[in-house]
Amino acid sequence: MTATKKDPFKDLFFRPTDIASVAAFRFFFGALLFFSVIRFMAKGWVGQFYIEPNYFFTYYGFSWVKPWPGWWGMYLHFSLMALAALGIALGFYYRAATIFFFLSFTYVELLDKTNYLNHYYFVSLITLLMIFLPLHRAASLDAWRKPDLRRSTLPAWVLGSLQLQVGLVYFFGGIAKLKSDWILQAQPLKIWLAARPEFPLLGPFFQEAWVAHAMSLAGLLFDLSIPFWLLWRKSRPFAYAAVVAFHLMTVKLFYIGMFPWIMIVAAMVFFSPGWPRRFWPKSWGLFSEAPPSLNAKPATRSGPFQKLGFSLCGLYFLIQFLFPFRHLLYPGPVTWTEEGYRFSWNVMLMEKNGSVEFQVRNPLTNQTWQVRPREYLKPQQVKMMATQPDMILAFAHYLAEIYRAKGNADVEVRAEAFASLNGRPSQRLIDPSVDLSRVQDSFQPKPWILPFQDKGR
Amino acid sequence: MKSLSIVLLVALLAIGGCASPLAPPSDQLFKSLGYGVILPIYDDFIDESALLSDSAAELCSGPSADLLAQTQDAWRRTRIPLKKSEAFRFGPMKTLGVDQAIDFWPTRPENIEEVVAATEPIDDTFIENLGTSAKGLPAIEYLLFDPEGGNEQILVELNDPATGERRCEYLSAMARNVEAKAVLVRQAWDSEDGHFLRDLITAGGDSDAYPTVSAATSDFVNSMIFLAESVQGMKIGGPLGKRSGGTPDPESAESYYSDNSLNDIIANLEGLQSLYLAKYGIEDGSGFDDFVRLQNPELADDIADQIEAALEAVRAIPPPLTEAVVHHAALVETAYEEVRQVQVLLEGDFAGVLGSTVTFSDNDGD
Repeated sequence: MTATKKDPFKDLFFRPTDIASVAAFRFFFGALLFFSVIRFMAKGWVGQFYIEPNYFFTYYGFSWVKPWPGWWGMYLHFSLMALAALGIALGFYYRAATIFFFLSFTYVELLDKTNYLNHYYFVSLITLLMIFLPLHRAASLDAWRKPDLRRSTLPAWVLGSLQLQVGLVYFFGGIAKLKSDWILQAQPLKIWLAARPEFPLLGPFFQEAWVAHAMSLAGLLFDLSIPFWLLWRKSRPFAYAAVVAFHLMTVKLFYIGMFPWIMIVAAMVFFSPGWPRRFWPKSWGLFSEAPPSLNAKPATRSGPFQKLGFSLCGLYFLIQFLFPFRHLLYPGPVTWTEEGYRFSWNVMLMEKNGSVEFQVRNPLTNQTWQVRPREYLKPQQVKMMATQPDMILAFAHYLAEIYRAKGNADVEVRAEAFASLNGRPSQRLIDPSVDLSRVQDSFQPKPWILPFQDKGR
Repeated sequence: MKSLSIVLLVALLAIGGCASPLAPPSDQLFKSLGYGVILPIYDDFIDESALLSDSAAELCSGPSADLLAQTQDAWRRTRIPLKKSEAFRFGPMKTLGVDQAIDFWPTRPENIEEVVAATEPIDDTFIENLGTSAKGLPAIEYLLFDPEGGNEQILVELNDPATGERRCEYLSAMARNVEAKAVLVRQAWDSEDGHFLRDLITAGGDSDAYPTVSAATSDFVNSMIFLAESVQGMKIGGPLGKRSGGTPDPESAESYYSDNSLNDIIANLEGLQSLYLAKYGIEDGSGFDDFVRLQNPELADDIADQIEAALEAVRAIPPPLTEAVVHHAALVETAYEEVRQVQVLLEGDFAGVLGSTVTFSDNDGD
């Protein structure tokens, strides 16, 4: 009789792992998504950001994404999204709910760059991942109504992929902080902390420069290392306490909405796989069957859907690792040009403010108009556009359309744009001599963004 | 491990330098701004609007050239503290709707003439219920000044047997309304009936209005930026032709009927300067310049210098603005650019160093 050949690959990725923790994650994360959507609606942001504006800064290649017509269209969209989130939480028609939520949430995000947030990007990624992860096979309405679905274990790569996704956010958040402004100048924390003298207990200390330096260093080390501390069983309790403390502090310090709560919940994927069983009575029947043996052999076969899911996950994470580095393909600091800035976990990395005006000129009649963006955009759009060159370009094109429609067969549009980065004096962001109406957007470097000059503070 | 901790601590201290505060106490700043600049400006507004109200009543008792000139002067003087207060146009002025009720422009003559032609009795309640485009200082200006017909035409209208009395009643009632609003705003800031200033001073603590100091400074910063943008883009840029293809558009000037545009702009910029430096009259307190100086001394002076440069450029324009945009366009253009630089500094550097949120939404940000 020949001995079964050990397959370390299979051991690592396909070892049966208790389903309890990922099912709990599904519930808590889905509940958080539900709350977030309701909160968004309750604050009036559906109308403010997706109905009232006359213009939307869509992403390159996604100009076809438009808000639903009428005020009710977007509210219906958000209402259905909330229901989908509930479906995820309860594990009710889970896969359909997850697919719908991913598509509907991502659609909203694609409507306007103005509202880009890193944690929105994270939500899109996680829900995309969850489509391929069978998180509904326990503690769900699906498992209750279809007992055949029930499982007590899932292959290890399912939990591993969630851990990797969450870990990536922290790790790349730390990589993003490897910049001289953050490390040597303690910017932007120096500015932000000084603006919070009323912070309980620590407020007076926030007025001291050395505290900003210490917190910058601590934040950097936290981001880079916390995934590993969470993975290690011995340090996990302390690491999670640090996660909670860190994010609760950011709740008090900054206006960052749901981000801290999302990460506090997301970090639970690092808990031991069977942790929920300690808290839920067996009689509830949430997790059928006994906990798996720690020595259980990996499944010798996995279903075709799981193999496909595993392969796609591999490709997905390869992209995840490479994507945040794309800014290296562009000249100049990414905090200045913002080429490759979004979707790279540049979280709370800079204090950047700008001021932009546009000059529209009809070369045939030599008439010129100075246009204040506020005449066409909402305040939030004006603020975000002022520091982001790709949005400045998009608005220039929009202005050109407007003035052509007014009877100017040919127009030129130029931007008078200044920006201040991390406490530095304002400097020109865009070449004022370039007619932006003739510049086509692309992934190529943008030569009309003026080089950054690191002037003193 | 222990030695590493010591090395790190020493490094932090070396990098951070000696203990140096990054900002002065916020309550000190807000007290200084409140008691030293904001309340005195609102007090002046009450005083001047009371004189306007008295002058209007006297004018209406028997319209004459002298009384008309006196009322016109009272109107101009009332504009000064109101325009200065635009630098801090948030709080009660906004929440009580007073800004729109007393300073809606551009003027809509048709709405004003509609009231004159109507028959409903004019009293304080009637004025209170009128739409914003038919009352306030711009509407009063329309009744007091005629750029084409001059004072003679105004006196003809005020003495017209059919509509003159009603016209004067309307004028007088609007002046009373402006005075009442001035008192309302002042009381809302600091009195037995209002405590907005206390909310500012206690920002981040017991404040009803400001959960954080940053929220309070953001209101100031946004108001100052909005003013600079408004002065540059609309009050100077409009008449200069920046919004009309380069062709001067004098009729788009604020206070067009009275040719008071330059005085308005100067008062706007003086208000901005007073707020930034916490300096009004002889009072000189801790202002935003001191706040900024702790983080960036050069920037603190740059902002002060640029506001002064903008003021000088505007003062250099020969009045009235409606003619200067045609005959002295270069000087107006210079003022336009100087105010633009004020806006750039406020919107970029000033907002940046204060870490305030240059926006009018409370959306999340990461």
